[in-house]
Amino acid sequence: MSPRFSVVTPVYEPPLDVLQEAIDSVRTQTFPDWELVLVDDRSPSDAVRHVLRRACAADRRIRVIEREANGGIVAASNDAITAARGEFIALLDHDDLLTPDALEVMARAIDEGPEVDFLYSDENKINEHGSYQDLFRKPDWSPERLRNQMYTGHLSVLRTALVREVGGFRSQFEGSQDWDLALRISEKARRIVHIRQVLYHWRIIPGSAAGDAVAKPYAVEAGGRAVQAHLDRLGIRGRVELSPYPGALRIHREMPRERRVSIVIPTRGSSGMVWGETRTFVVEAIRSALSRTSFTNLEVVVVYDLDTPPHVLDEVRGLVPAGDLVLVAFAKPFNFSEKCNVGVLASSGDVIVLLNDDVQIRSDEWLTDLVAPLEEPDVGMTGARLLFDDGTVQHAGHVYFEGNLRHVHYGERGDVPGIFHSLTINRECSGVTAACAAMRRAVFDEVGGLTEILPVNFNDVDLSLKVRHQGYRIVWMAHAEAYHFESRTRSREVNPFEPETIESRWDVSGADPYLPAQ
Amino acid sequence: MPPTSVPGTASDAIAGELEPADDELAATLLDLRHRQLTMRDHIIGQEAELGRLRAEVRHLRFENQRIHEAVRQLSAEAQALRTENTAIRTSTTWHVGRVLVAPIARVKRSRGQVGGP
Repeated sequence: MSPRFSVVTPVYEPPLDVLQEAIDSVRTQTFPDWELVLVDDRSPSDAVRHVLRRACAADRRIRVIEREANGGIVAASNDAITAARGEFIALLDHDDLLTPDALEVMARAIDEGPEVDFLYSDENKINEHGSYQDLFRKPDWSPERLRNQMYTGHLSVLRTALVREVGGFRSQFEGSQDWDLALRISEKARRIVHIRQVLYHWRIIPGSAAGDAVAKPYAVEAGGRAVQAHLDRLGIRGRVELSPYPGALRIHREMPRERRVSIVIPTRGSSGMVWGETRTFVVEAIRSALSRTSFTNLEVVVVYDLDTPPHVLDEVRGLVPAGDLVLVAFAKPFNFSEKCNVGVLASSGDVIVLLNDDVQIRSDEWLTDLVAPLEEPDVGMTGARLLFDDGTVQHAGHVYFEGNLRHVHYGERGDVPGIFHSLTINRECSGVTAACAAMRRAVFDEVGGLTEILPVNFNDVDLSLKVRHQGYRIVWMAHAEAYHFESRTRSREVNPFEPETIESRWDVSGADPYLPAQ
Repeated sequence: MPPTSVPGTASDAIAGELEPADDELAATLLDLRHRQLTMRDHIIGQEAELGRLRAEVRHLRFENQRIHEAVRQLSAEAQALRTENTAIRTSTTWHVGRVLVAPIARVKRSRGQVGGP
């Protein structure tokens, strides 16, 4: 009878003590139904083979394959996959450690969802002194994040039949072969499960990827190629660029020219001081939005209160060609949601961009960066990276946990990559601010726009929750950047009925699925 | 393609009469689309609230079951202890022990009395 798990470990000249510890971490599993397939990739030292043979003799669940010639990690791993008899493959490096309950926790998760094909857990690192560090509490399944960063990492458990179906590891991606495999598995997996528990300790050894992401530059380059191949397979029009931050990538997507975009801006034509100069917010918002994009198939819809100074509207008319400008007078008491809804109803685009008037676009091709991911049918909404005028982070996605509704990384430095690159990579999140967000018109209609029962605050939280309720992903786009002069235009006073309304509709009492560490 | 008209003809007059009606129609249509949008919001909001309440009910049922089970187990344990206690009290060992410690118990009790030694 085949075991539930085949723990697969390619071995090449590790320190003997850490190899023994890795083997022991499998032997001491609380879940007994496993086999360990150790493939020696012709280690120069006979002592390594001696350790492996001794382990094999000590436990009938351990099998050792000795390659006649060194073939590299891909060849050795594929030998192990060929030999594996388990229903699932668990990947373990020759110097790392499983927690004692790793396979038991995985087995329980598999029993709970028989369609699961790919599971991954949280992880941390173990240093030379045996102490743990760099705890990585991962997000639930986040396909966009996996295109920007190999975040699933360890411990990964994959259905053996599917691994064989996709052809196992590929030698042309050596160094990032696990990233390439995770991408190909994710394209076919029926269900992917994140285990919110550390089940793997990644050992830091000088020169290893755990110790230094720049130690293997060929691996970074291979990762870029793996993601490019993934985009090509999925028909996502885009090009992968290596990021200045090792281990992270940047994707430049393309937007079909026939897609029409409507930028909807609610305003009352107010002015204020920014960087020592007085400005009319809506005018600068539109000016920067248009000057920072080469995309031309767009219209600007300005929903203005009746007390908006006429000269402001004249200035707006001077910025936008008449055929691409829609001015909508709003005569009712202030209701941000209603103003946005009215603007969307007056627009004609396939894609809606909601833009506050107190922003200034900062990045080139922001519109393409923001809107292009909406070409993927399961992406329902995208949001931008917003900075305060002093360069600190205003918005990097919402996080909803234990009744808290917050901007993640709020007020932190905007010129650093953030924990696990979270400020420099596109990633799924629970919600985004409507100060700069994009949706397909069809999705906006499907969810009923912004709720008008929340006229000031949390309407974007509700919108985000509605979008996810309908089964769509929300993606925060790290490279669509703008300044948001939020505090300059209105107070942040929250009426108690606003969070109460959210809590009556939605259960936000648990952990955030995308940023569980918050 | 919008309809064309020849200036100064009867069609012009008809178009002039239709325009306000068109505007009114467009406004009504816009209003209806707005209502449809907000209606969808309300429906999704109600669905979400219902879903949240159902989840809360499931959780409370589970908690209720858990508490019932705990009470049942504690009752069973209490009953077992009562039975054990009765068995002890009816045993010869307990009776003999009680006879042996009775004088000491009497002394202890008398020391605790008001006005005692």
